Amino acid sequence: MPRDSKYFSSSKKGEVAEWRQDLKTSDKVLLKTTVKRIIAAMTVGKDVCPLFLDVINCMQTEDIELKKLIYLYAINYARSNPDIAILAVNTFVKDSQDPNPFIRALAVRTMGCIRVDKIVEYLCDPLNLALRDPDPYVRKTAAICVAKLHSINSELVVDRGFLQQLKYLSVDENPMVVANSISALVEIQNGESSEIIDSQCLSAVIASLDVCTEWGQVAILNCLAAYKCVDGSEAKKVIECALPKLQHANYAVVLACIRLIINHLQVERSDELLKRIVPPMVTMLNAEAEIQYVALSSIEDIMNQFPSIFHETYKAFFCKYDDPAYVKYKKLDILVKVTNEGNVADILVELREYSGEVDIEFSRKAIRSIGACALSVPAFSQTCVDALLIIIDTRVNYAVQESIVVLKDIFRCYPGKYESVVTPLCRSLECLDDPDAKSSLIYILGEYAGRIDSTLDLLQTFVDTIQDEPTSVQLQLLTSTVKFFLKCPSQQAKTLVQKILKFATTDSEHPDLRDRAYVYWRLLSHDTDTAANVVTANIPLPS
Amino acid sequence: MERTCVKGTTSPVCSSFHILNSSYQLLLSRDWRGEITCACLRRLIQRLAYNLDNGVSVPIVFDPQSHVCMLFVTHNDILIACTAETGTDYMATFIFLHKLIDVFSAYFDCFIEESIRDNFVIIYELLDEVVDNGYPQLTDSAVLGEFIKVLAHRFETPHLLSAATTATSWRKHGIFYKKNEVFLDVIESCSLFVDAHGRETRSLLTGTLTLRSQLSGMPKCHLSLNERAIRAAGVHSAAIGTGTLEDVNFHPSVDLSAFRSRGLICFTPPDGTFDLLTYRTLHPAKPLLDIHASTTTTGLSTVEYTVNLSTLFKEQNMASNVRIEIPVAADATSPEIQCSHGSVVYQPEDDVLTWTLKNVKGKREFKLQAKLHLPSTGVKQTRRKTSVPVRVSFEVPYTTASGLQVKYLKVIEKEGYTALPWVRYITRSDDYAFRFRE
Repeated sequence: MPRDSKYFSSSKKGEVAEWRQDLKTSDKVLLKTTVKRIIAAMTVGKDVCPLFLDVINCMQTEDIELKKLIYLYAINYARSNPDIAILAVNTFVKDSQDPNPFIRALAVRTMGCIRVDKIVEYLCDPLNLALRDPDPYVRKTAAICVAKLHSINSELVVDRGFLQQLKYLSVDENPMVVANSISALVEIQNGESSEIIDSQCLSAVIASLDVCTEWGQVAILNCLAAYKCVDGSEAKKVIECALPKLQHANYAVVLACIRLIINHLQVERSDELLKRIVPPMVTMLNAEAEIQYVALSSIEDIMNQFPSIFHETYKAFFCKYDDPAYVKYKKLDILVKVTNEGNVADILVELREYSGEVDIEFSRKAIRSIGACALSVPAFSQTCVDALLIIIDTRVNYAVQESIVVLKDIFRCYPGKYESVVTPLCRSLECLDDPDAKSSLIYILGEYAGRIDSTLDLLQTFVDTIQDEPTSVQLQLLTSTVKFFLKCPSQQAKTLVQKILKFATTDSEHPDLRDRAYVYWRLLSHDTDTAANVVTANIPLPS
Repeated sequence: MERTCVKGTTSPVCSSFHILNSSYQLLLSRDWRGEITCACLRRLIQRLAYNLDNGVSVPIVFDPQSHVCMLFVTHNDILIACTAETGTDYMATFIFLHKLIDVFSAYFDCFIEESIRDNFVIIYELLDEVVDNGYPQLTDSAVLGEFIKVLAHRFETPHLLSAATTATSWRKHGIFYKKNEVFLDVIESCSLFVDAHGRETRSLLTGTLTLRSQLSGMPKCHLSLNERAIRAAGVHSAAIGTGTLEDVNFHPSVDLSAFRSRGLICFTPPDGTFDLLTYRTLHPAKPLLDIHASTTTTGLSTVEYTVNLSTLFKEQNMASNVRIEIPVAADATSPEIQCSHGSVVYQPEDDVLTWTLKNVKGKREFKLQAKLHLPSTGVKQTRRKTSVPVRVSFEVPYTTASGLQVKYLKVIEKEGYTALPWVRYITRSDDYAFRFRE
């Protein structure tokens, strides 16, 4: 294979002038080399726009490789040289009548890519011919070209009757032409697929599905997915025809098919059909990571509509240790959603395993997921709490902190059930540096003030350093201290409350903190019973 | 990420295509739709670079100022990226990117930064042919290969043009072989993960039927598999999930309706090697190999590893090239190793002991014991257990773990030649791992 890299090497000054000279040559080899150099310069982002006229002048050539390169150049720079670009029109028009179908298609395709208003008018006649070309390769290119024309000048498409021609082509004998016409129609109708297919041409479109290339199938399936069926039996027919595509090797086809099934299930509900989409979706989880990622996102979408269809296959969402992080996180999200009483035990063992992963963010998320399981499957909340206790027992700092945050929610959800956990929790505390964990612990201290021996000492230490804490922690500390005082009144508690109220009302500059402190102060000075009713009232359960 | 599945998507698969090197410099771009502004592209690349440099490898980045996103795949030392409207069919875009990589790899043997500079002309030519206005047209490297190469030098290629637009886009006319043969490899790869409690958390069996066809003309092939396999693959919809095969994917050449109605795999093969079908099964009740590995710290400065290997497949079969990688403590030294069969090598640079056994029969047991010394610190340490499991690789030739068998493979051609079909079976491990038991 010849090496093209040599074209990149020239970096002499005045190369543009040199190339301009070389473009005038009659030596075909030199001409081609020069054009390649120019394209190489274009590729690395050098401005070779000044050569536009000279390059366009070389357009009339018999050498197809050279022609392609010049066309490529024209596409890139025509917009900045609309006046000179007109000069190229003659060649385009001539090429569009070439006996070789490949040249005809190339000319039509390239003209469509030159998005210059003045050229568009000249495009119409060649396009008109190309749409009726005997060669399907030209017709399929022309079909797409109508969409290009529409994006530059939509009126022309309607005036010249191209839309109507496109509709004829959408039932062409050649499947690739059909697929491209449908793609073009969809683009022109701005995604309103329902206007493209009607009940009459439905059978023709479905028939082309079986003979089409894979990308054509994706386009047709997507279009059929958006088609609004007139009744249940028609929906059934559409689904039945698409069903074999679930077994296609190209996952884009498979997913497009699944999309179609789901959309038409709204009309024709069937649990049996719904089950059919699970195995192919699970198979995608063995493909490349990016594919897995899209498959997992799609599974999440499907679960929003049909929450329970993936519950049986929960093991497919277990993370491999070498999965990339973005796949692991998605799997974790889904794992939490597929928990039910039948599988939660297995899932919990798995989540506990993740809590010891080297990726700290992931292991924290795993711990949070354990909490989510406890809330979603009440029958197994004890198992979840046990799992958290094992994690707390490892005394790995971030894991303990995350467990505190999670336990706070569990406490709120099952009031009075797991108080015994509080003692081992406090024992494992070595160093709290995460604000969320701090707030959660302080919340627990306030809530279970009477049952934890060391509450006063712990609160005392927090109050001593209150000025260094973020506001969220300060607010929680204020509330918990007042709660503690109301639940176990004592002289020391009173001193503590006075100290924190003083800090909040005089030293703090945060309006929320000050306001809350004033409210507590007034409540307390008025009547402690009323204060207790307000401050220690039960808060609603987390959802 | 926006909804990707439930909502119908109709926007084009891609808007522009870019190749970047490992320092995020653009090597080559091709803009099909002229929708992406330079500023927008710059923002997307910046965001992508920022993500990757910070260890975030999500393969989609979004531009907050427009409805455009960039999807990318890394390959060797380069990034292959497409921009598209947000909410497009992301699956199609990623599959398309992977197919492009296949096409380029087929063209340049090795698709790396170097090969882009060496072949930019042909890359532009290919990009022109694979996509029009953002819609993929043809991504089969076999046909494209003929197509682009021939057209680059000659004008007259009518039959190839038709190949690009018809149903059998994967095969050209006029292929001739003196000796007509077709080779079918049934390759099954099993993966397994056993956690510290001996529980199989993942066990999976995937299979591929790879066909190498050296056949003349336009032959039709009929392939029939044993009852068990077909029944489960969904011919009779009632039986789904009850048999061995859970999900089957066919090469585009296979007539899917014929399979559904008759259970017969009918196809006109592309020339050369390709994957005819891939399938996924539920794992056979028992794994093929079992490892029981445990570790104990004795005293202050030695750690002992015990690994038991048992082969669970049929006695007449043989597993070959069994290789067991046992992760050991990073600071361990001077191993003392005893094993009943095979050889053991200590690779301190990877912190593993590698135990290899050339050939082992079914229903046997083997044992390895290793004692390693740790730097003594005078205190008994509680070691955090390693997250790396014991990994095993092996092959079991002449058999399939799923029990899938080929009943017959028939080649039918107008010319009426006789073709020789060859069938071969092999089962291999792919990601077989066991945690140390607790």
